[in-house]
Amino acid sequence: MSDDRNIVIRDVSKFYGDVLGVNRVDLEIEPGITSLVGPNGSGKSTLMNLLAGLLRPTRGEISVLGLPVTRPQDLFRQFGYCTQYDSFPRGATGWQFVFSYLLLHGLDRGEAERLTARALERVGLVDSAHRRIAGYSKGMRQRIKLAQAIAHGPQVMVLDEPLNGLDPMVRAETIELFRQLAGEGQHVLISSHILHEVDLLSDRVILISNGYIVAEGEVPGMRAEVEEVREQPLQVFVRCDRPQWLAGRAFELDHVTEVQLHDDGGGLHLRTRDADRFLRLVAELVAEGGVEVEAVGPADSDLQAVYRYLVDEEEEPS
Amino acid sequence: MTVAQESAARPRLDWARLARQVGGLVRLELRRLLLTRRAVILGLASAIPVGIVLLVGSIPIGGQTVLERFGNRIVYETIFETVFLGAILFFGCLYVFFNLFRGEILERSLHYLLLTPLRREVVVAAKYVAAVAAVAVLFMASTVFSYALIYLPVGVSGAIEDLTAGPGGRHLVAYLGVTLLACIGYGSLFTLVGMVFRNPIIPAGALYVWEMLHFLLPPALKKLSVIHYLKGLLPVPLSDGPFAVVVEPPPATVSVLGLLAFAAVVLAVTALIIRRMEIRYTED
Repeated sequence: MSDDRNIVIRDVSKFYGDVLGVNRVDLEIEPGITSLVGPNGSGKSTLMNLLAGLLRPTRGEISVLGLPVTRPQDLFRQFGYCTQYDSFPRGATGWQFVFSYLLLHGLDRGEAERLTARALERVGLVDSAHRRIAGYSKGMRQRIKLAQAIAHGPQVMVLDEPLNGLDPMVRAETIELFRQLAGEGQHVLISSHILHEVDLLSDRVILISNGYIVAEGEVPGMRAEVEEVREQPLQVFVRCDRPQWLAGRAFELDHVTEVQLHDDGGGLHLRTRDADRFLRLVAELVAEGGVEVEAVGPADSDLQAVYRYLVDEEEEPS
Repeated sequence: MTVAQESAARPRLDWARLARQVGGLVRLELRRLLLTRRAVILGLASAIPVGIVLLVGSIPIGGQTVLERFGNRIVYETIFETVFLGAILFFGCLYVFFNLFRGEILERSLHYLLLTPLRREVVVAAKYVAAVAAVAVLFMASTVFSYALIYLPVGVSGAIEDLTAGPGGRHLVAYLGVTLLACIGYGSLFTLVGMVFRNPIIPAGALYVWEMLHFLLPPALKKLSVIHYLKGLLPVPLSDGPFAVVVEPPPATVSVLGLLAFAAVVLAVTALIIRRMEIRYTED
């Protein structure tokens, strides 16, 4: 956990009682735009809330630029978080909202006013700054949250579905803003459940499904190949403590077409036409304590098949 | 240089910056408390004792006002103890302090505070101080105005004489002190209750019964009530009735220091809870 430039997540799991949030996440995120993509309920917000210290991991460690997330007094000088919550302090205007939280960074009023004006300008809300947020449109509320998250000039910006509710023109401006921020050497971590929304702007994509990181890396051009793999069964590997038992459970599923145990007895490969349902089953079995999973992911040679989960999810939300 | 870069270069705790941060949070909280509907409700509640003293001091019954018939100190003490301390301060503090964190959880805006570079313990302390300041200003003003009205029968010159040369000034200071300590004691308690309970009715009801029936409690249990220490500081002793378990009131220093220590401990517990708190509004 010593990398002072990166976001480091080591073996992090989060359970809400018996319900899996994320499991065994290991990531090291470098500066630039990174997109966290997964279907609704896949664990994106959980992972972001863990990064911001709003949730505590059940297991594992997280550091941001070398800072532990348990020290808000250090972390939030470097960290801005635009959450998924569409809620605001009652009665606040856009200006008051950004300005008053900037004062909590210990700035004098003049500096806070300057940064408030700059942030509102960056998100295009100067004209509406002195209106109450309660009267804002959905897109304006998204933008004022974004302004509040970036106003203090953090090195790391974590933005949960920041493009939701934005009209096409504002969306393009916002994407340009993300590029500017990343161009200044900052971390911009964006979540989305819509793949095509982020795959063109991201330097790197992390795919998450049912609480597991199923793929990560640079993915230029992958989207074009998605259609080719749609109809093919996807090969998935699972490393776990009870592969035979899991194989038995997998064979009960009509979408699983083939199961093969690993020679070392520590895992299995299978082919499924519905990987999302299979991963859901694995998550349930883990939560019930039926099996201890060390790793799970796509075993196909490229990431296209993994995208298919997301494309399927996008078209047929569960 | 951005705020982040500037502060990254700062290796040690910057007290001036911390003071500005706390000042910012206190002002934010004061605005929330004093410039909203909450302040109107509190203002109306704090006007009740003023109205009562005005009534008993200005409306004659059988040729004399109640103040004249029973003596202004006894009447004021009775109103202060039963109406102000026994109801308005208790429920006023409940209203403000229960919502100190619970209100923002229900509003789903607490995360904005927790995403600022302030230790969560500091957030608790600053919000609490702001709330004590807001409530104390309103209720101490109510105490001053209502106390001033007990001089209606003797006029301005009589009031000045009693306040400067008689016991009036000392009594007023005692009432103001009790008001402030009530805000501090009940405030800390209800801040904690607001962190632990989603609905105040059952815990507040239980606490109210405990506080109001403290005079029936055995001496050892009396020590576990806030009002026991507050009543010990009141300047005019009143009887609690024939069924009361009578004990010697604690010395003033024990009452004051005890209540301050109690508030500090309760706030420390609250800080511990919020330090471990997760933001999962769906559960609230």
